[in-house]
Amino acid sequence: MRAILRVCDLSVRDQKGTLLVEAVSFAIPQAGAVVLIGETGSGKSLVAQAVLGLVPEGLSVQGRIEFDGRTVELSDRAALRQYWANHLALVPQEPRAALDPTMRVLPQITGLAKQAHAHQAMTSLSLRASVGRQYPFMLSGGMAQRVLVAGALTTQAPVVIADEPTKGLDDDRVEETVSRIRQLLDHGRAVLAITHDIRVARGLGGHIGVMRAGRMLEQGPVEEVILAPRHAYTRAWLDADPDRWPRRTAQRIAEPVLHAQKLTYAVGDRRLFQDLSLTLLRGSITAITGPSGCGKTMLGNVLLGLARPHAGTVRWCDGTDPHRVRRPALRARFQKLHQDPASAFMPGRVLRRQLEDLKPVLPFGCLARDLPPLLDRLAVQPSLLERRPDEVSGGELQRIAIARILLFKPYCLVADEPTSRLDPLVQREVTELLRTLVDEQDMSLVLTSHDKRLVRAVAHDVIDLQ
Amino acid sequence: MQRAVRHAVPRAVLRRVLEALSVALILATICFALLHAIPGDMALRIAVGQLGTENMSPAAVEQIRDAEMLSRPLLVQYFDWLKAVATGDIGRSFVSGRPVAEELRQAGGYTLRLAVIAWLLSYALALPLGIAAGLKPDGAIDRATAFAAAAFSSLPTFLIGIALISIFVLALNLLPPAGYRRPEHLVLPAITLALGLMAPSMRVIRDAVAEVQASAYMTYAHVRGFGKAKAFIRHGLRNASVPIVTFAALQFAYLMDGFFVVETLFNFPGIGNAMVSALLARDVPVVMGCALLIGTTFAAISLAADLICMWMDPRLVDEGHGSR
Repeated sequence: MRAILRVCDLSVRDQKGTLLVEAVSFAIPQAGAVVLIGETGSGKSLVAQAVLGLVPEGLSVQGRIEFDGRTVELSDRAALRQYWANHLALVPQEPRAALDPTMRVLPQITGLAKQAHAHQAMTSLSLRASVGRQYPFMLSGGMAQRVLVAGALTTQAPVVIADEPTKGLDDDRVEETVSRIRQLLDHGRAVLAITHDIRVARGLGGHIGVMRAGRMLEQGPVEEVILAPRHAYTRAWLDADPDRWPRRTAQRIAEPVLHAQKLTYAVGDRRLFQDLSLTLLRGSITAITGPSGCGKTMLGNVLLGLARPHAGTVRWCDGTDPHRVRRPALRARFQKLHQDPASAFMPGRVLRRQLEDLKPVLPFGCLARDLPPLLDRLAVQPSLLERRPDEVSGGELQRIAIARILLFKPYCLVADEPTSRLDPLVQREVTELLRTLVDEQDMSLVLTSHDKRLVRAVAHDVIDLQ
Repeated sequence: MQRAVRHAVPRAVLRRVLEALSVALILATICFALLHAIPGDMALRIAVGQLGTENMSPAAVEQIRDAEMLSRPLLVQYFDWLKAVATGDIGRSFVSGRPVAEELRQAGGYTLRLAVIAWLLSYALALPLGIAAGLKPDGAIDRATAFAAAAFSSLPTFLIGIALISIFVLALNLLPPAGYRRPEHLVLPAITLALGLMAPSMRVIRDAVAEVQASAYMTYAHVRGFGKAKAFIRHGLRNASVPIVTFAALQFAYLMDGFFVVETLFNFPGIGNAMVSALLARDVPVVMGCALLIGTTFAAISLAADLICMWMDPRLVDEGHGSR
């Protein structure tokens, strides 16, 4: 196997000299794939940025790359720039943001190449010629990504770096994206993919490198690593795949907390859902799924009395309709867990203060009595509360958000994509936690998610809004 | 897309025309109400404006009251004016007796000249400085221009004007102080206005350029082999222009404010000066005519900005509106 690009002893340090990436080495074979996998903060993106010479200002890079026998120091950004377009191409993370919104697609794909090349590349990705005349905002996310892959093909670069190609994509799209990147391999390009999604590695084959806290834990051919992971972390990572979660046994108490009848909600002329009836039971998990924009969040808000349906009724367990009553008595018992925990806390205010802010709406003495055991139960270090929201990790913040909700002893909790922004391992941890809490607290959990596999793994009932 | 353009452009035009009409009418109505709310005898003020304080007599005041029919109820006066405006007649000045349209054409012409020069001058300074600052955020130019912008925006226009007069007129004796006879008379008022305009637009340009430079598509263009300058010309200019054009149109409102101060200060015979003296002399038709002119001009400039923005950013065509 001949390596087209060899990365040797790549290290990244921040201004204080802390190592963010420590001596990472790997080789990309000609027309082969290397997938770097790891959670947020593992340094996998820094590796890609370092190879491109795009590491954020203030970070210093050491190490070198070998390109076809030529050696380039990674600290020399100007030298790395020489390799742009001719040796290295990029398929950026957010396809639509990477395209100039005011320029038609074709000239953007063409770049410095000849237009004929661009036409050829578009055809090989089955993009119609009319796409070239469109503006980026007229493309869907998937289409935009195909355009960027075509853009990579118009360059002569033998190595293409794909940065988080599946981030934020619906479940069904992941497969499609992987096959698109595979087309790069078919065209004889080598691919370095950065991802947190094991499915990308499975789909591309080739080599996989597992990164954690700036180190390469293990690397090897994908099949070997998946079949026989040497490292405990890799095993945990593989098990975090919802397809591998243990099925839950149904154990429900048939006590309803909410009845909804013939709900209809429309945005303009578009009906998000129509004549939808459902009952939520205590101790059960109901999932709402569907692609982005199908009204999952809106249905959750309607059930919680936060958004008024155009037709239909919602009845909470004491018989009140939250849309008819000004201040329903059970208001605090129907709670919502937000997708992005950071948006559910006030930035810049110490977390303990934010919890204390709830004193007026909680029963007297409840905070002092219930909070410590809750934190203990959710494995939140009490000292974390002395920090501000941006000083704790996403998983920790989500657990604190859950603790805050549990203070109200909810009957019903609507969790809006609670794990879509979290890494797989944290996703599994938070979901497991929600699952046990449903049993322990005997509440009804409504889980909205576009991740069909996650839903399959945890839900008793599924409402598919498609 | 083609269909979108066919719909969006007429819709923008229609929206702005309606806006022009309503803004002009509302402005004129407010002026009418305020003029009549000022205490003092209307006819007396007009007589002073027409004849001067020495030649004043109670008989002359009564004659004016009679001739201009000022004893009619206010609402009648207002609706008579509206009726006349609807037929295209905006009346004649109480003071000079000349048609308001003629007075406006004259004063407006002077002001237009001043405005265009001041506006061009301000962008001639702001564009290079703003772009240079935006290309290197937090660099030396950025810091220096931020300081200058803060200084100039916090200085009232009349102070800048007085400073310029003391330097160039009183100390150096280079330029004429006031009035308008020769093109040199335009220099100081134009610079005064331009400095005030330049300060905020420089920051807007800087922010627009910095945002475009930091965008994902710019990085992508760099990685695809476009050099810094090439990528900026290819992707940066057009994208940065949209907020700049929008702001430039909005600045007209500031410019209007500036006209009052600067034209009064330099005794420049423009629309601001005309409106101020008309206000003092209670010259209702002239004040309301000025209001109509200002309102429609503002809407016309906004329309131009809308169309330019739509031309530059196709997303706006799709959404069916321009700069706002």
